[in-house]
Amino acid sequence: MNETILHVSDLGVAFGKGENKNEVVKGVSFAIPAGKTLALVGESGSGKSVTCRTIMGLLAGNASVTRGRIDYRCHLGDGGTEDLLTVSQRRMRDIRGDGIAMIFQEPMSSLSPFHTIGAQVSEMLALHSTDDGRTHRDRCIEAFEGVGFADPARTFDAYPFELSGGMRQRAMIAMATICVPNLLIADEPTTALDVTTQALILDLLQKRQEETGMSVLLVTHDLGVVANVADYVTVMRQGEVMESGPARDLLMTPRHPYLKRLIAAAPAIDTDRAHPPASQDDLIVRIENASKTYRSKGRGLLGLGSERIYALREVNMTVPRGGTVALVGESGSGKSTLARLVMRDETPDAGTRITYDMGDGPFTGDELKGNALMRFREDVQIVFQDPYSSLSPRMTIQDILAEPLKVHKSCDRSEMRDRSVAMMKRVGLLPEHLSRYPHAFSGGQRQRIAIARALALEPKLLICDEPTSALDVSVQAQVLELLDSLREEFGLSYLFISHDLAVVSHLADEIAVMCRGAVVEQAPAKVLFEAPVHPYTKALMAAAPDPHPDHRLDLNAISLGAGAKPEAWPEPYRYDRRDPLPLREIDARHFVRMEA
Amino acid sequence: MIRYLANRVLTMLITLAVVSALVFFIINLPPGDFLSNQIAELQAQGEAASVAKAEFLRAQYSLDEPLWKQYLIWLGAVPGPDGYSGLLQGDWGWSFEFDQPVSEVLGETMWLTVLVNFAALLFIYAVSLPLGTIAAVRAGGITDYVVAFVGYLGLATPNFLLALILLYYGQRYLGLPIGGLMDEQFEGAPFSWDKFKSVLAHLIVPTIVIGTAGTASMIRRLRANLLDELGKPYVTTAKAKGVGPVKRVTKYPLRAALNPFVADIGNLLPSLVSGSVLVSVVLSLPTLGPALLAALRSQDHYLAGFILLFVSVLTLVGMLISDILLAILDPRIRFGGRGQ
Repeated sequence: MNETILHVSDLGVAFGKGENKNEVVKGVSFAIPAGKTLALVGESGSGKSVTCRTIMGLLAGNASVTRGRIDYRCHLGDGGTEDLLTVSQRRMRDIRGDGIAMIFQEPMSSLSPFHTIGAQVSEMLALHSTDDGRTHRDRCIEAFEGVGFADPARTFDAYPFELSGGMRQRAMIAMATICVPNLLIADEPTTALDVTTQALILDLLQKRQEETGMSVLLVTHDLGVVANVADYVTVMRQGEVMESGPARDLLMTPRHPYLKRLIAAAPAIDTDRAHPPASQDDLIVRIENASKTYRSKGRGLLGLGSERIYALREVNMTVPRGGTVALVGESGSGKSTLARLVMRDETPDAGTRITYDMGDGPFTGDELKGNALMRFREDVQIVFQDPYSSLSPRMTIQDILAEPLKVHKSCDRSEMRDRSVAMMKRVGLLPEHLSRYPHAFSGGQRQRIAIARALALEPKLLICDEPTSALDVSVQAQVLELLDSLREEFGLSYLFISHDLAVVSHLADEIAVMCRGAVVEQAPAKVLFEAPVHPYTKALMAAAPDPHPDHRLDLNAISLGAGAKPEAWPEPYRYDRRDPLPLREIDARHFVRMEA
Repeated sequence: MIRYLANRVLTMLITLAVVSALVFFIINLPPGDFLSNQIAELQAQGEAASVAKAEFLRAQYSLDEPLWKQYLIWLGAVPGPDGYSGLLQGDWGWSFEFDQPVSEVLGETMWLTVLVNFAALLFIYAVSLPLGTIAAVRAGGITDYVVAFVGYLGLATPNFLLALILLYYGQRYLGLPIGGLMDEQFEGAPFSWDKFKSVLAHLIVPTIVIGTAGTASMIRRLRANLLDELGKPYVTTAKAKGVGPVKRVTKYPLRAALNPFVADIGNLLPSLVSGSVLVSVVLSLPTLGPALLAALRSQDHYLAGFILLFVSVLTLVGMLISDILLAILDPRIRFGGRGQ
């Protein structure tokens, strides 16, 4: 048995004071063996992040430790441990960064925008290393090279805002590991990243672990991530440990019903459940040659030197009535831009032709003005990604649900009330809660409210813009099920946007994979999942982590298509971004962007 | 950076041209002018010689020309009766009221105004930076409440009242001089060490009085900004690195909180000038505030116009300084075009 580097026993943490004291961590215990990875798994509100912050002594002012101890072994072998809850402030500052380092979820805001990456990383050395300051720059550059920066010297002088999210997280890893800590705490380090980037970052973390021999405490909600990197797992729920043990045993034979539920809810690509392609005879939307170009802000008075940015180029697509078309791609792929064009929220470039047929004759997007546009808005509704910011915190649920009716329909108060009650029941919420405000609801419940609002006008086409990506996995499955059942009941057609192929595999009849504003592969769902052709599609599929311990991430497949760089794809798929290849139909309704 | 600077200065010059036109038209908005008032008076008395003199003056100052041409002559962009003689040539115009060139009427006043306001600005920053920081770091503590209380007191007390109180106690216990910006014997005298000392002693009370209100609001603003920044994840990152408590505040969030602080220089200057009129009257400071008031009342429009323009220049220069400091402080502004 390995030595234990950190032993958390019976830890309790509470927020608030006096009578309002609310314990959020209730007697948690776990141990991290030296050189191994322990994954702390749980959904939001399970207390996993609070536990990590307690270890680092980073609790907010209104939180307090109520019980327990955290024994940390600074030097392996000599047997001495110290309780991190009682050591002096001074000693704690020495341990932070040097003995225990931490990386956070948000690489965008976890680095100071005012200092160069180099300055922030070398500060670690200045704080904890005894060697000459002149070697710091070289050591930093070496570290940047170690985490995969192509030009480490340039990275040293770069500011965080010049790097992408994945690159910032690499810089964070370089910073956290430069002093070779005994333990690295990674709090959801890949949650804010695209799937292919996530795979590469997880790989990097494992490499750094092998090089340095450090232990890792990985906080995550994603069992797929756990299966790929963890040696041991501790499952938390509402501040308590549900189950602990070696990762493989737990994932293969979960004993606790909660863990069983989590594993069942984990999104996985399920080809058996894929819908058959819908008939192309009756289309609700036909998109032809859709493009959207923006001009970057130029410099100087006249805006000289502005560049054209192709947010979307030459997309052709059809949405059959009653069908679901999914747009899948990583951030910046143009999927949301296409949705905004379809909604007529933005005007497309000249040459774009979008034809609608809501049941009483076809019309094009360009004809939509004045009253026609108002009528159109009733027929096309959207559900947004973030249910926390898409509902006004100052309106009751009743007001939120009634607002679309007020704008578009002339119905009296009692009718509005009746319709709101009916909608609440339909999305699985209690009508008694209509007078509450959004903050009284959980994320999943808020998304149900958002869906109810979108359905209030009985639209024909519903655009779902990543409707589940802000939700916990178990809630995500429920919301997807709700959307699936609503489609038939209300005769809806869906344009479904997601970054996750697994999410759309249950819903979509047809899937378009997008990258850098262009569709790279488009096919009926079953065809796409069973016989993907394009390396980017394959990378996306390979990068979705699977909770089965034997299905590890295939890094080769990922690296072939990852990074959304058409220039780096293998032949015959490689193309220059300014001059894309044509989309070829290689099989019936199966399109791939490739050389003839 | 040089490109940014050049761009910024160019924008400033264009703004200045627009402002000068606006100023000129605004001071000409009230019907009549100093001379036509005088001519009406002379005609009523029937003094032909004086009328002739007034008519001559009208021609001399191109008051019979259309307004746009008057403006261009004032600016020095087209020749007037005496050839090119306007702001561009360094001729600030003629004060009818004082029967002197504007440059002589204002002369020292202008530089004293700049001096008083600059001192007030320094006072504001020197006091509010430490107090605002402490108030934010110890938010909800006793220090925070004391600072807030004193700050609100400063905001609520009328400036001239504070001026009178300070003058009285300053004189009684510290022997500070009363009124003016220097002892009488130095007025109009060439610069000397004694004059400098005299000015410094006279500056103490006006600086505190003019600066108090600005300090109070600045403390509140800095506190709010800093509180926002202290909750940001990068502060947690710094703590997780093992950075000590003082450096954790000064190195990271304080720098971000300074942005609005610095951006305010341009806004503070004009409010200091116009806000300090009453104080200047009470303390009998020879600054631009009272001079502007007098010029506007007597429709001495070259004088009034020049003062307004001068205040605008102060504002624009303040903005320029703000922008340059911001660019130095914040790399996101400096490399605006380079990011993503």
